[in-house]
Amino acid sequence: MDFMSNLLKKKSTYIFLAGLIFVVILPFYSSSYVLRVLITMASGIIAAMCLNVVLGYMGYPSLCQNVFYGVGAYTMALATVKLGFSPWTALALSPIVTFIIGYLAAIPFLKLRSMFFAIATLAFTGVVSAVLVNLPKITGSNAGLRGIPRLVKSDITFFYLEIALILLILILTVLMSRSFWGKILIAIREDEDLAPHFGINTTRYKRLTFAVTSAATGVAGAIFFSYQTFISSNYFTIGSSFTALAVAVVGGGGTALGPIFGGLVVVGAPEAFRGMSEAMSLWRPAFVGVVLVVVILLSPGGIVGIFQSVTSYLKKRGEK
Amino acid sequence: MAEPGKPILEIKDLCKNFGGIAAVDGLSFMVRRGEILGLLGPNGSGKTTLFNLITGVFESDSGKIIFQEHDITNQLSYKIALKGISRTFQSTKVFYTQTVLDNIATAMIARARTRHISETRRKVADVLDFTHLGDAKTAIAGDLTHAAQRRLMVAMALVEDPDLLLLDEITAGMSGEECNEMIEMAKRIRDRGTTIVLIEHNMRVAMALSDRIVVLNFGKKIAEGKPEEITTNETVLEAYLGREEA
Repeated sequence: MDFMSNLLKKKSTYIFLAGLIFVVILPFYSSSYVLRVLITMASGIIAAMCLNVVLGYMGYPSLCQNVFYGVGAYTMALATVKLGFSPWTALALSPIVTFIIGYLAAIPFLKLRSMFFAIATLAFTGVVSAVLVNLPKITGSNAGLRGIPRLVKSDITFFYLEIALILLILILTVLMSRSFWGKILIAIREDEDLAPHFGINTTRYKRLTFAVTSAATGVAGAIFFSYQTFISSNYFTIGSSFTALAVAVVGGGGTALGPIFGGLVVVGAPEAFRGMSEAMSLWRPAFVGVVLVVVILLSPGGIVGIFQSVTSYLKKRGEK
Repeated sequence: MAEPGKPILEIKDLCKNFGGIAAVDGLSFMVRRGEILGLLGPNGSGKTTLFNLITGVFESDSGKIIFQEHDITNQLSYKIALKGISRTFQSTKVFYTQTVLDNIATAMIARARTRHISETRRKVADVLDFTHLGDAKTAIAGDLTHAAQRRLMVAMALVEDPDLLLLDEITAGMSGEECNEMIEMAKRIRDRGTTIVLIEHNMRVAMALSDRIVVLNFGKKIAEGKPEEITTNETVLEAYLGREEA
């Protein structure tokens, strides 16, 4: 009861609820194109939220988030198109498959740190990307696989499905950050060599965190490509692995809400270029790069960092 | 558990080479429960390497490390910590962006989940009081003074009441008054029943604290005995001051 009454006293609770109501009614006033952008954006946000746990809380700059997104997506595609499973069964399979691959990948990669880890995960993306291209009988290669059954019929329901997943990951991230698990991840980020001297089995927590976030990313991939009904290897290139990283960094690494703001800016805002002339739309990829550089220069804490600085400044002014 | 005066830690013919250089070379000695053992030696004599071998940071090439009658040679650091060996570091190592309380909480995570919260709270209050950090408990560790950061490092190592505490130059970079406070704290730690092995370059501190001293040079033990014996030992003087040419 104390928790609830405290929650009701906070201004941020009402801002969050207002935001949630806005998100719920948004699809009803959106064109099919805008709704498509929203679904794409939500999917990118989920991948970034998962990466945010690995990067922001644990301090490992993973560049293979789209591999797990792809593994989840291909599990959905292959299980339904090739094996004849129902899309819901395939959706249940995707986190299991992704967890196993994530855990296996974690064993060698998490022995590395900082840029060596980043380069190894980037190379992993390259390898998986090449495998997808070079196994056309299974993956469909660049031509892709068509006819992935949809989990739900309406686009709006797809959007709600993703929003539900975002809320679930948000709640789990907040709970995790306040639990012993979050403290262990922060200890690993702060000084991985120091943590074991307090009896913390860092290897175990790193591997499990990497695998669990991979599994959640896999679910996002499975949902999105079930919505899309088509998958091809073109979606999973080395270049696309930077998007999730950009979303997490621009939003604010190590904050639960950061990837949501990052997704709005990195995935959502460039869509404005589509409505412009062809010459202008060519500038779309550059926009992401410029935003990333500007945010890192202005606020290493990302958009959430800027917001925190502004509110703390206003608070101090109010106290004077 | 070993009785007072009985060996708590035994180092047996321990060797560690880095390339062709023997950092620890056939080292053997033991630490008795309840004592403060000083580990002295010139720079590069293998003192910190020995701490790293005991705590599983490095793997030894040969030899044995026996703790409370269990072989802990080349075990993983976290397993050794759970067995009751705790340490501090030559350069201050704490979680700098976290508060003092969060630092102590992190140091307790591995064991705190298996006991009642009231016991954990009691331990936190006790260690904050013991290390005089009570007033700074909500401060960010990175904002503390050097001496307070060193005390926090000791608090983190001490909070789970280790059986053996390895202190690596706890007075490094401290003023005379701060050194005295640390000497006092180390004595109080010993009075709690914790056995201490300390590396110390400050001779005044080492002599004031140690019940016994082991002196290393080039990874080998060159002397062992009571502080007053060590100060007059010819081999030790030679290692520190060099041989006088005829």
